[in-house]
Amino acid sequence: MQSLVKLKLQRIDYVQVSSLKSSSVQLLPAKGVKHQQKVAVGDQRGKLHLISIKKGEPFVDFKIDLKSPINCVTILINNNEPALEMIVTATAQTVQCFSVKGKLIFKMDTNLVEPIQHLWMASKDEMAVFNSYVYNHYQNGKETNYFLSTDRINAVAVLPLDKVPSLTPLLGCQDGTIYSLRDSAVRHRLPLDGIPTAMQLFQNDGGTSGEWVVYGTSLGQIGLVRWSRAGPAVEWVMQLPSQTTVTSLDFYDLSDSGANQLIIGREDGFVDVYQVSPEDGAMRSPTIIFSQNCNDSIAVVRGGIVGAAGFPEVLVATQRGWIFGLTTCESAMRRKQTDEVTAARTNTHSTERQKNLQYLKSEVEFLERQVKEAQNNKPFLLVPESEAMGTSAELNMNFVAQQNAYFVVVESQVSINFILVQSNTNVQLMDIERNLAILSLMDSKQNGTFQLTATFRCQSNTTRLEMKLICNERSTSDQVRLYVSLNFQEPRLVILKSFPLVCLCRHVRCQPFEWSESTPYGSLTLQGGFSQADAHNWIASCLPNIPDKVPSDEEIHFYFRNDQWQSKLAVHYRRGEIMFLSDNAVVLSYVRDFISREATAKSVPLAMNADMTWEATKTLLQQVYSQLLNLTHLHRANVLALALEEAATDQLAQDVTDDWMTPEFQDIVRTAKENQPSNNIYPVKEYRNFLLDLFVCHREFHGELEIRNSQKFSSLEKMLTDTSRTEDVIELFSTSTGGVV
Amino acid sequence: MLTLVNVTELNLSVFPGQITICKFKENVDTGITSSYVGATSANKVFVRHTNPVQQDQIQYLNIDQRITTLCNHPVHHSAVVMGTASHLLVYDIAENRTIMSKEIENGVGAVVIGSFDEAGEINVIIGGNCFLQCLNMEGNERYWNVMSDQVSALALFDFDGDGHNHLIAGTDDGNLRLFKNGRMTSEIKETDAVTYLTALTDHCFGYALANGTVGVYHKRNRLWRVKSKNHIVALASYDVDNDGHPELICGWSHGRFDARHWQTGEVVFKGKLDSQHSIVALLVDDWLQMGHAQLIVCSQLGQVWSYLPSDLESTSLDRIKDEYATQAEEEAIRMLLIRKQNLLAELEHIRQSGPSTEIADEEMHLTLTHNQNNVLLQLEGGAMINAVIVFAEGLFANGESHALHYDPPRTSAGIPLPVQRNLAVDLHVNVIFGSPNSELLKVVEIVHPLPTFSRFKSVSWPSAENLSALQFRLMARLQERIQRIGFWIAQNFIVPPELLTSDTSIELAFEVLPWRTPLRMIFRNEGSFMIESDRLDHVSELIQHLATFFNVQHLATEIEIRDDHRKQLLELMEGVRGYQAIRQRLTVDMADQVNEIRNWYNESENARLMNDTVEMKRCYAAILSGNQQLVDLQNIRDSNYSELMKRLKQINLHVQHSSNCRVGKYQTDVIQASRQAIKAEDFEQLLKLTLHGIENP
Repeated sequence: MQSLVKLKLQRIDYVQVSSLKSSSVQLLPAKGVKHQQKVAVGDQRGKLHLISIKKGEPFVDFKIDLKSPINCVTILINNNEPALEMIVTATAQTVQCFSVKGKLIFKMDTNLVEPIQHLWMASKDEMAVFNSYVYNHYQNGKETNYFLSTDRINAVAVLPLDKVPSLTPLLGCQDGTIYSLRDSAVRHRLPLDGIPTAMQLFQNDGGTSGEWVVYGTSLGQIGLVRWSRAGPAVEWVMQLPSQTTVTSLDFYDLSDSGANQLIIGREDGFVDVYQVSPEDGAMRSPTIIFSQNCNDSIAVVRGGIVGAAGFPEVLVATQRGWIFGLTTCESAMRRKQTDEVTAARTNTHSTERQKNLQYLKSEVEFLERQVKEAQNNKPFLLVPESEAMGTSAELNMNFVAQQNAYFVVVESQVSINFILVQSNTNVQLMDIERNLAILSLMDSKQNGTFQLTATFRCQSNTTRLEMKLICNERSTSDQVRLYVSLNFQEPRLVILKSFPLVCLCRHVRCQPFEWSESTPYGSLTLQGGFSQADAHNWIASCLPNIPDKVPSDEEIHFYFRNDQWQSKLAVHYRRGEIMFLSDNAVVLSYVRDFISREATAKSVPLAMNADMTWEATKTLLQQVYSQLLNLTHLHRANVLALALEEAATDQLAQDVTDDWMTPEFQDIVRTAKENQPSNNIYPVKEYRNFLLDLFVCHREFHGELEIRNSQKFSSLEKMLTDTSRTEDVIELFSTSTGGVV
Repeated sequence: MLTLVNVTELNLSVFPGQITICKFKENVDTGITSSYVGATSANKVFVRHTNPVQQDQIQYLNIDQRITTLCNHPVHHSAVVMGTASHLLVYDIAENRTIMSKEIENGVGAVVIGSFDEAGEINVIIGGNCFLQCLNMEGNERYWNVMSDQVSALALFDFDGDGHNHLIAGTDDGNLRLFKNGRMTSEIKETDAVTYLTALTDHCFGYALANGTVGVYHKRNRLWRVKSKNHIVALASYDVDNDGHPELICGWSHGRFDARHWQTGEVVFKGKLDSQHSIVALLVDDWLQMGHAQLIVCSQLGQVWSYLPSDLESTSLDRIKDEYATQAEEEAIRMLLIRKQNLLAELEHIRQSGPSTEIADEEMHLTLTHNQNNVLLQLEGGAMINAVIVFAEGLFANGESHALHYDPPRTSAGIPLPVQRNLAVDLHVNVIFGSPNSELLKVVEIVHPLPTFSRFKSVSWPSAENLSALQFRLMARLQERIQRIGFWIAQNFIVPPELLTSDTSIELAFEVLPWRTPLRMIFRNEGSFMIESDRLDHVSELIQHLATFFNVQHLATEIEIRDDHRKQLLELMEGVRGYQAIRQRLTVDMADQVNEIRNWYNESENARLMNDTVEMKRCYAAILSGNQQLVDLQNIRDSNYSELMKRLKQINLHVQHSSNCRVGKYQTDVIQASRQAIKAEDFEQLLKLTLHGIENP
């Protein structure tokens, strides 16, 4: 239909630096049309590099040690003197400007407490800095605007000043909202489905009106928004093939088509290129023209001309610090001048690469000898310190509601030997197809309690490992520990990484909602002599994605939903009072157990008041039970389909060609094929257990005890396995509440 | 460097190892056509003709027995060799006649056809429930042997380059055995069930294990092996790059296949089917009649992909090759860069942490002992241990490692090792220690050998009143100095050294874990020794190990069996007859039941035509109950069959163990004589053989 040419890009590796953040690599503007651009890189060990590629080999123009991690690098272009661009870095609380020769031109200490995470600069006199929660606007070195966000700021964009005169910063925050600011206050807000993790001006300049912005979320959505004076309007949203965090966005014309393409960098290691139509053209979703897995979490993608003059490429930097190009330059021609394209080039080229290979080999051998000598305590030749890497491992985790699973990625600067995964709770660990490591799971049951102990033994040169964790909601919060053993000889090291699995781990933060008249809900109120900070700590350790900082509001609200049971939860708290509202009795029971335990530990007496309505439970019960019935039905149909298929081959053998199956059976066979994979996401057992939990929790809220041993409980168990009529199950639930109803 | 030459859809599900190619010559004019022959899930064999005249025609053969294995015939190209749960069948599809049918009561697990000894005759070799059998084309048994477990893979290849094939057999308990002229010539122990075997060049064969290992042996030496988390579902040998040496082709469960260099294991070609469907078979055959055999990859859903080596003359392919080489070089450069960074990091790391001696202070003491039911690995050290991870191959049921996490950390640790069989492995013990709140912990790796008989727990010699006789007692003579025997014990058992100090005799008592079966050994200075145990397999393994260690060529032994156990053995053997009788009766019953149902069905049809609803209902009710009875009968038959199989296996194992209590010619003689006794159902004779072996003629 469309005459879109798929891009063909070839990977060339340039250098490795220390780990990188998502805005710490920038390209300097080209000195002429299709000239090579230089790369400014600031890594987490505090080194600022300016790198240019000469004949395919990286060449370091300068390297400066700024001593503390560089979170952000931008290029400042003086309109009056375009040749004198400056490299601006943000380290800790300081902003520094360097010339392309590496000379410090300008330095400014901000009065922020936390390190700067994002930086925007129009000129020396017009600057905005952002840390995790704070936005500061400086004019002529003086703080003019200030904003404190309740949730962490993940991504920022500032609409271009030449098109939108009043300074309009956009903040993509952890609560799933993009805020636009005017002076020191929120002007507009745009609620999203996921958490915004990357933002970029459309076409890098905001389009003709300067009001267009693309964003990427933690669940792999990309959206185009027009942020006009009246407020934001979403033009389109698309879902990437996998639900992974979008880490970087850029626009560049890679195919000489005259129009820019959208380049996307993802945490799962993919770099995608999409063809997008101009913002004022007909509304058309982007089409994919390139996608490649680069095996490392991507930190930055930038379009430009780096490796070879005249050939546009995507400069990719990974979080581990690899910098490489995906170039349009064909493999045989790269590392050569374009005009030397001759028949003989293949040979000369391959010898050049051979030479390179040989050189690297000897270098590695030399280093191996060095290491051996160092281990034997002999003095060894010191490598220039700046070339060495740090020993660190990064851990990212992301909850994907559609699969009800946490996706965990471990990445290390040096290769991993093995990983031990451990948790004291019942977590299911699943391998990911892409891993090359060999997984061994221990027997999960130890001394009657479920535990997770597993090891991944990695093949040589593994620096990235992914895994999937499935955990049920329960009334305790636990930790998952990962001991990452690095491939060092002596002394050998293990890095311990851990992350919490909160008790309501399958809930996701969502946009504020109101309880409508038609949705019944229950409430749980806890009162006592606790501070707001106590309350915040409790909430943060039982629900996911709560900001570390206590919001400054007097009463704080958080909203959640659980996609599996389609239940909702609202939390309101202030000093001395916490209120939970939910239509799910199980959830209320879990938080009650959790918080009362925490309060007891701190010896804070709590007054509890629960009001769980029968209507809420009934609605949830009906909904979940019908899902259970559907699932059981589907399961049976699949079993039947297997038998039918076998019978079909039998019929075929006897030359019966007619459609001997009834339409109903034919339907079963057909749908069975489609339904196969989705079956595993929510096992039937999980539904049954939930309904049993619901029964117990609901009755507990009505003052009954020892329910799991009651006769009603066992009859409910039986009813669920027998798939009794919905009415009967409801009947059992309602009568059990005794005289209360 | 393979090129895809053809993709064919069979539109049929294919099962692993159950597809092959047969060739037909319709008449003189048409030449040879090839057909895919495979088993279906419903006890049938499909023949899919690719003849242009009979395009897409599928023919079915009813077998009425579960087909376990299938292969083509090297001489009769239109014949297929089928192994089922109870028979071996060689059937000519073109002529529609049975060439050979032979009842194999033990069931067929694997089959290979070809010449196997100096006679050069075509034989069918069958492996199954703890046995190996060789038949000639008339169906007469030429050779029989016992195996230690279910035989899962067979291959024929020239082991020593003398122009005659050896047979190699792999079993579920991870043994590889080589046979020549009806004799076992070598045995190799692997770490998991052998799943596939294939002959490569002379002296070499490729093997695959259930745990995802694939490798190549050159004679008795392993050239290389790799382990992956995926499973190998097919192996083949095919010359991918036209260099005259075939590569080992592995088909993987996730729909990929790769060709590895026979000598180094280096991947020279990688391929992948479009879908993620598992590969089920790799065949090599010129089924497209292109003058050069194709490599044929079959997927689960019946897609058949055929590849040929790329023609290296062609320029367009030259470029492909060049590109491939470029990619490989780029890959090599990337790997070297990573390596370089690792080394740089390591140097940096050494510099930061100072001389390595400081860390070595945290000396870990590692000892192997026994607790109640397990071998126990004891760790003692000054530092706080956070976790211990033991990597060892073939030792743990759930993978290759066992980890214990201590929360809070402690200074000593005991790790139970579930040793299930006698196998010497290296334990790679990784101990993680450090302060609990630090993100950076230290790890020490200690490699410690686990001796072959580690699960023999040394106990004190029972006092006179407790000294009851054990089921088996073996007596033999071994001309070795007692110190040498002490050396053997110290090397292969976990025994306190003070028990081995006597220079007149060694008396040791053990409990074999995890069942804690008692075992006693007495070695005397004059050269005689005695082993007592409740299990014959323990005794036989000790004898075999002893013989290998001291390089004993031939060893005759005398065994005594306690009377009650002798009775048990006889009962076991007699029981087989009973089960066989029941089986026959059940088959007759089921045939009757099927007939009855058929009658009811006819009657129901009559009633339907007559519009007699009442009668119809009655008939349907009868069919339903008849069907239920049939299901019940089938269940009884199933359990009867598995019970029979269990007993046959026990008998085979008994022969295996009693023969393994001897060495050399005494061993082979016992096997052959036992086979004769089993055939003749002379169980008294079988027992006699167990006790005394074959008297030296």
